Amino acid sequence: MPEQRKTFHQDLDEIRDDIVRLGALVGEVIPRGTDVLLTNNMHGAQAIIEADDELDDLSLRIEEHCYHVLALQQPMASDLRSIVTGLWLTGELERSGDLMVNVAKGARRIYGVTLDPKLRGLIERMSEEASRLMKLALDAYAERNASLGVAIDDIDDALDTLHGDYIEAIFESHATHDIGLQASVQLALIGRYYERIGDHAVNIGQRVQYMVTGWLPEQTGAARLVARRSLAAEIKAEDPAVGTGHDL
Amino acid sequence: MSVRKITSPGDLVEVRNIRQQYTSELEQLALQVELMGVLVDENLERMRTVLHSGDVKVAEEAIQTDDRIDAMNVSLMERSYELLRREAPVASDLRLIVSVLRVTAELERIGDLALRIAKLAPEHELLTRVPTSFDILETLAGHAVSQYRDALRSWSTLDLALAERVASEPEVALASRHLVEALLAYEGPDAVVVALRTMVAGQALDRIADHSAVLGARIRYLITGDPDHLAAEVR
Amino acid sequence: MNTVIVSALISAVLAAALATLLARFFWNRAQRNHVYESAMRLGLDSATENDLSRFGDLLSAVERSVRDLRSANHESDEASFRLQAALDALPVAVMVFDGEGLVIDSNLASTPFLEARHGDALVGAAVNDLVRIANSGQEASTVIELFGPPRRTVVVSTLPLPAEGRPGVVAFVEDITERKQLEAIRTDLVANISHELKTPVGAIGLLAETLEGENDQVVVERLASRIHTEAMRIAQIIEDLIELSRIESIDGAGSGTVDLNDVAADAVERLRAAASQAGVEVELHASSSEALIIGERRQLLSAIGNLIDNAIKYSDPGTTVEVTVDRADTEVLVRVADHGIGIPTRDIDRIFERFYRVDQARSRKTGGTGLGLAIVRHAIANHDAHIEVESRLGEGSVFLLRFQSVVDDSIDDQTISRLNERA
Repeated sequence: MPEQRKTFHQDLDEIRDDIVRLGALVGEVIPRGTDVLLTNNMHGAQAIIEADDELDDLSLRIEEHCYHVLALQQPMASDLRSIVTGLWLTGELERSGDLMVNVAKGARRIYGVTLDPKLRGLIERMSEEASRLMKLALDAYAERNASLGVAIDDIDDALDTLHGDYIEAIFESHATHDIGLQASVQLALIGRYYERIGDHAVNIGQRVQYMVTGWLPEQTGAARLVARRSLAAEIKAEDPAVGTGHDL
Repeated sequence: MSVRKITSPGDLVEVRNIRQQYTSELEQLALQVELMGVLVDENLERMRTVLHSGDVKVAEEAIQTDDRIDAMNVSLMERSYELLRREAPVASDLRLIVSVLRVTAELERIGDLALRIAKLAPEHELLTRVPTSFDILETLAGHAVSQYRDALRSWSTLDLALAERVASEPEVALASRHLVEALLAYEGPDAVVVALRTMVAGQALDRIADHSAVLGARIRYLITGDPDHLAAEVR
Repeated sequence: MNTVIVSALISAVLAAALATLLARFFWNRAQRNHVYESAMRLGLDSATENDLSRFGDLLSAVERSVRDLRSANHESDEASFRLQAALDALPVAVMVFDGEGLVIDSNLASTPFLEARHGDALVGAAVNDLVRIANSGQEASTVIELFGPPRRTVVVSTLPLPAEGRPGVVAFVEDITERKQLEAIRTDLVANISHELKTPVGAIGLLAETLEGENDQVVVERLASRIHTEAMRIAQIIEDLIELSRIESIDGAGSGTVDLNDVAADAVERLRAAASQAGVEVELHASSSEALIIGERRQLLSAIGNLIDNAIKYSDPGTTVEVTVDRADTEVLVRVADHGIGIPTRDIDRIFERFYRVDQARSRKTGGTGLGLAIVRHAIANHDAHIEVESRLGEGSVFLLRFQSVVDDSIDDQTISRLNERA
């Protein structure tokens, strides 16, 4: 079938739609993986591990598409930012999917271990929080909503707190010999995977802020450096004896 | 699309390219990434010092250096954009510039993680309360830093075998499992506080290794141009 | 002099109007010919007073035609409007695609899948994939399980449309979550009933068999006591089944006035022994004034009693169950809160089903029949009241009952007539 030459904006739209779809796959695999973990579902665990190929394929396709557009079109400023943001986002999303694969693998390793209700409840909540953050991040991206993107960092605090409670619950369970050492270790690692998905959502939020405004969080650090340098220069100008060290 | 094998940074640039300035700009770009990598390396070393001794002064230095890393990240990104916009590069040039954008993002993250550990300096004593977990933490730091160094070296030398090895390093994941085991075996009244702090550090080290592996996969893709290598970024 | 100018102007305006009309009437050959001939016969560029009077007839004819045309258009507009409204009323998403896979028509239910996000984006992507297959001439269909939240099951199917020149595809998206749930309830019910009844019956048979050949008095006593326990269990299930079918058959709650403070106090009192045996404290917080509703005391006692009974069963020793009766605006609220093991999110929607068990092992130990919450649900429905559940694993559950209150003694007429209607 002869491929019709797409317009630049069709390309951009397609990339956006594909990223939304990739995000939807990640959003789905979070509750799915948690379900597998809480119901000791070994078939489900295998299915999640296999389904990750679809996620990887799609993210690879998006990346290739971005390259293609960069090479054939000559996008200007803000469009260029959208494409580079797309490249970054595929990385964040794909790794979030991998983390849920890790959860599924962890579920296999603790097969047969009975978790007490408190641990189960905390796992449920970490999962809900991680998928909420991911959905918000994707909303921010689809709506080009920079302030929502930035806000995700604050919202992520809830997940960090939950993670703290979770570690405590593992200790309690382990101390009362409800769960053995190996299961405790696996559970602790599983908790981290959820926390890291939250981190990825925060990253996506920051990338969205960049896409919309051109501002990166690192620019704050860069600005601090400039301020320090000019302060050092002033001091040096006033008194040549001070400020010999570089970067203050 | 034809895939050209690249053996040194100079090869990244089309030899027949008559735009001399463009060529040297690309070389500069690759070199600047390396410099940024060296700054990150210095901060990783500071991180290890802080982890070992809890030296607050070194932690302060790390915080300041991180601003320089951020500044380099921003300026490298701006230059990459400028090149993308002005030169509309294709094939391996395009791959190089996009790789710069992604590699610097990883370097910046690694820098942030090193800082996260350096900032634990005031609570350093907590980390040392369980000697076995503290030992593992230091070992973990050693592994993570050496994996990072391999990644950085594979960028400067474009060593495919090295990049491949970095991309598939399993050591750290194992060490972090031992870390949790050691923490669970500790039964002091402060067990949870100690565990939480230690795990913050452990997780950061874990992720430094993770990001280094992603760097390896990125560099491998830069060298071969084979998209399958991109998929293998999956860990 | 003046009349000449006026007539010229009028004829010019008429000529323009006629031309426009001609263009609009293009499709209607007979009408066009009629008007055209009239115009020709008139010789418009040399219109006279006489000619103008003849225009009167012509104009009215034209006007009539315009009216006809408008009404014809209106009818076809109305037909397509009706069709669209009918499509929009469908609970199934219907989308029509052209040969390129672009949407050319869609109904209201398909809005969520166009330009979608999250789970709907996956459905949208599946639609696109299947449209491609259908565009090559084959029917296609797939079932998608979404974990949401909320969990959903949707069926996507596509059909090639009979093509007359231009090919097309119609796609349907149907949410079958509810249907699947009903199926699950039905199949689970059969399995659960047989499990609940067969297990104690089987146990009694086995125990009796062992008893037959047993001479050791100690063993005999132990076996007999276990037979007794299992028999009690069956008796309890039968009792609950009778209570449930009684409440189910009533459909309504009479017109008596009941103070829920009394009912709650009575329920707490009856469960006092069970609570102290489980090491759980039950606190009752009654409302400051009477909490009157229209209803049947026996059903209400059964509902609130079952909730408290459950709360005690799923609490850890040393914790407290709080029963609160409250009045808010036009409502009376009864809240039963525990700090027990909680209910997994995925099970919350199903706990009111007969014999549904979150955890088989635990419920056998606690001796529940699996019918308590089904009884609660029916009793509450009979009172036109609402029940809300909030629960977290490891933190506990809160069951909230919301009744329409009776304000003082002036009974709300509407409530009475509604309840009477049902009774």
